[in-house]
This record gives sequence, C-alpha cells and structure tokens, in this order.
Amino acid sequence: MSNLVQVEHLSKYYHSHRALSDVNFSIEEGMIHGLLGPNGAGKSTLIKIICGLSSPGHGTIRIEGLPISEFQKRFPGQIGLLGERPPLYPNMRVIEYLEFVATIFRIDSSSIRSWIDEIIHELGIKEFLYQLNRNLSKGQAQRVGLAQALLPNPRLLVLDEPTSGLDPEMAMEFRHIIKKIRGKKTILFSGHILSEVEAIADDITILQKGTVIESGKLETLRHKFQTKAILEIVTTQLPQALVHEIQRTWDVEINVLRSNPNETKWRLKFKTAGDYRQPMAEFLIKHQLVALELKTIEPSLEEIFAGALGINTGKKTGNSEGVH
Amino acid sequence: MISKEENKIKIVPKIFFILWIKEIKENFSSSGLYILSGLFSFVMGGLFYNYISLTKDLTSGNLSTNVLRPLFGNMNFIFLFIAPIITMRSFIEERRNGTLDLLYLAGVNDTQVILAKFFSAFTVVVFMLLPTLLFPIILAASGHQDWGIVATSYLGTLLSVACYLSVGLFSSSASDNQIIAALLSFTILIVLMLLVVFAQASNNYLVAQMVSYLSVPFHFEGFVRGLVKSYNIVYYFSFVSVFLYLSQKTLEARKS
Repeated sequence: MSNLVQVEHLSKYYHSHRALSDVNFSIEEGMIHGLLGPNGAGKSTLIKIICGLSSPGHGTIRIEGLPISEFQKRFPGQIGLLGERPPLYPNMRVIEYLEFVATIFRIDSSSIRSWIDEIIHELGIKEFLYQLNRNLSKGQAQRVGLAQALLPNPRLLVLDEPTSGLDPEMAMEFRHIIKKIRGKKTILFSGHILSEVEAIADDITILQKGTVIESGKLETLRHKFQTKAILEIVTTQLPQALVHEIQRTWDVEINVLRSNPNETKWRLKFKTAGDYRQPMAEFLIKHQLVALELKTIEPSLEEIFAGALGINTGKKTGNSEGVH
Repeated sequence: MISKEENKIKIVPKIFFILWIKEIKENFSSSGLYILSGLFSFVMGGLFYNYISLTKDLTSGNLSTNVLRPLFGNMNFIFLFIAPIITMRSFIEERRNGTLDLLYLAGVNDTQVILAKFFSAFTVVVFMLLPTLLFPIILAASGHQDWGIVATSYLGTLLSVACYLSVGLFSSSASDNQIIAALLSFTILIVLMLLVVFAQASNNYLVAQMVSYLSVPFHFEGFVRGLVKSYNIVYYFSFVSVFLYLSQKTLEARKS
C-alpha cells in the first residue's frame, strides 16, 4: 500500500526551543496511524504542521507526493481535523453549522443536503440537530466535530486526542464510530490512552522531546519489544512436582493467575524471547497433563511505550501469585 | 459510508459574503449588542435633548453649529469606546473555539476573514446609528433642512469609526485576551486622538501640520462643517488599509 503522508527530516524551533527534531515517518493510505508521546513531546506541533496550520521549520511534508502547501492549494479541505475541543460556533444550531461547514468547504450545493443527511445518519446526530452548539454535551459536541471533519470527505482525517474528556461510554461509542470508518479513510490518531490507541491503530509513531523514537507497524513493534517470551496456559491441574520439573527444564518464572477445582490458569515467563509453544505442548503431553488453552502473550502497547521511552513501569501482568 | 464520488467540489467565489453573513448572524445573536445599542441610543438621545434645550429658539439659531456639530463630535468620541468593545472578541473567540483553524483548513485566507469581520463590525455600527436618524428628522420638522451637513457628518462618523474598527481588529488579532485587546485598541486610539493636542503644542508649523494629519479628529472636523476633501478620504482609506494589513500580518505571524 502506498504512503499518503511522508514526513522527512522535519524540525521546528520556537525561538531557541526545539519543538521537533529530524522527524521522519510515513502514514500508509487507508491505515489508522497512532501518534503517541508524553506531554510536550511535540505531538500537537506535528499535527498542526501536517494540517498546514503551522509552517514547517526545516524538512518536508508530502501528501500524495505533493508538498503540503501545494497539496492544500490544489485540494483545499482535503485534511479533516478534530481536536480535543471541536471547532464549533456556539451560537449556531447544529444543522446550520454543518451547512456552513459544507459551504466553506465548497461542497456542491446540489449534493450538500444529501451528504449532510448521510453523515447525520452515520454519526447519530439527528436527535440534537436543531440544538444550539453551546447547549451540546461534550459527547454530542465531539460527534458534531467529527461530522465537520468528515463533511469535506478528506483524504486524511486527523484526530488529536478526540476522546479526551469524554466519559467511558461516550469514548467507547466514539471509538466504535472510528472503527466504522476504518479502511475508508486514512487516519492520524493522537491519544494518550494507550489501550485506546492499541485498540484502533495499525501503525504507531512514538515521539519524545520532539524526536521519533519508534515508528512502524504495531505488530513489528510488539516483536521488537518482546525481550522475554511469555506463555499463558490453562490446564485441569498443576501439580507441584510438575512446577519443579518445568523450572528445572527451562529456568522460568511461573505465576498462577487463577485456580479452581476444574482448571488452573498459569503464566510462564522465559528468560529469552522465542516461540516455546511447541516444546511446552510436547512437555505437557509427556506428563499427561490436559492443556485447555496455550498461547503466547505479546507485549501491550503500554509495555512497548514504556520500553521505547526507557520507563520501568513496575507493572505485574495479570492478577498473579508466584509459585516456587 | 464516505464515497469520493459524492463529494463534488465546486468553487464558491463568494466565500467572503458567506463569512460576512455568518459574522453578522453571530453579532446579532448576542444580547450584548442590543444592550450596547440601547445604551448608545439613550446617551445620544440625552445629548440631543441637551443641545436642543440649550438652543432656546429652534427657528432662529444655527442648528448646525449648536446641535449637529457637538452631537456628532460626541458621537465620534463615544465610538472610541464602543469600537474596541465590538471588535475585541473577533479573533480571540475564533482562536479559543478553534474555528479559525477550521476556516484555514477550508482554504479560507486571512484577508477574507479580516474583511468579513471588518464589514460585519461596520454593519453593527450602521445598525447602532439607525435610531440617531431621528435627530435630523426632528430638526427638519423644526425648519432645519441642511441635509448636506447631516450627510457629511454621518459620512465622517462612519469613516472615523471604520478607522477605530480596524485598530480594534488589529488588537484582537494580536492578543489572546479580550480585555487586553480592548485596552490595546483604546490606547492606540487615544494616542491617535491626542496627536492633535501634541501638534497644537508644537512651535514648528510644518511638524504641527504633519502630526495633525495623522490624527483622526483633524480629518473629522471638516465633515461636520460640510466640507469633504479628497485628502481626508485618502487618509481614512489609508488608515483602515494599514491596520487591516497589520492584522493580516499578525495572523500570519501567529501561524509560523
């Protein structure tokens, strides 16, 4: 698949403060690209530059092969943006606002109505269509914000922490909407809730102090940051003798996650990376233990993020107790 | 859900008018405008009544000198306070709501935004001036029919207020706080007003004339006397152009 956005050697300084330094990454067409980084990492600056709202200091940004300024000149309105706070005129009614947006984005007047109707239907805006923007709840306002970002049918949709401030139910609903447009739009999604980005993003770029420290497919990053293999196994029982035997064979850390008369769920943490499923399955068969489930646990985005940033999370995976 | 075929792009050349109408709607949906207009009409009505009362005999006195001249002079001065209030929100609200970025993403340029805001504020001023049309009508009913002076006085007021609005827009473009924007524009306007005073204090005739020329009241003076000179018009248009240009440059600088 081709790259829609290509960022090359981008640097940006505000007086003596370095906001971005030699940033390089690309966004594949039709993919959801997650942009992660701690506060002050330069995410918002990068987003502003990609949207053409701030000038790139050094380096280039190309969209569909064209420099950003050229792209915007030739295809105005082809980048949709929704930030933490949707860009609403408080004294306009929702329908009036959407019509205004459609007009300034130069959508053909003959198709404005049907186009707005389609978006209203898709985003579930109908019930508050005639409310004033200033009276909308945070979730409703964000949906109207997404509608305005989608109205010009942009090639690139940029979502800058769109679920920030939403309650969990609304955030979930919002993620559901994003999933619905997956594949139909190229999306750059910036967020600080790692599980949220993990749930929707195909590719990830991690920024720290204005520099890209990791960028690539989520799966690739998972493999890169998997320094230790972890297996999760569910068996009908876990005799103590077997625990000692496993520890003697592989030198592993064993944790029991859940135990009841019918089954025991346990986790094996190996010292090195690798695929231990086959030898472990053979080992269990040899010891006549029935494995109900056997799977490899990949590092979460949180672990990748912490690994990339060199943070020790001190997090224990799962609710476990050690077995010695 | 989103198909490219549905989105037929067509050039809309009248984007300025769309923005102007949007601005007018925004302005007229605010209760503050009606309160401000009401107060303005009340104060102007009071002043008109006062000048009429001072001119004992409406049929024999020179109403242009005794009523219209001080009335429009005061009106001009009052707008010095009103114009910053009308314009202080212009860009600050847009920035706070993120709607300025929305306009930029749509390919709207700074000039279109600035002109739409300027003409919308100007429309508000015209709206505020409408009730004051009663004053010349009352004077006409009393036998004063010098419509020429009335027309030039209104023209002078509108041109002066256009200058004040351009300063207000510049201040709003340069600031992030409405109160600071209003204070900044008020300060600039007061300094420009006081140039006449500084000029009078100067012993050098040439310097005095040059400094006076930069002052808004210097140019307004002729209009209330019924005199419209081309250099006055050139001054007003240049003044407005300079401050609108500065607003554009400020908005541009904030993007970098």
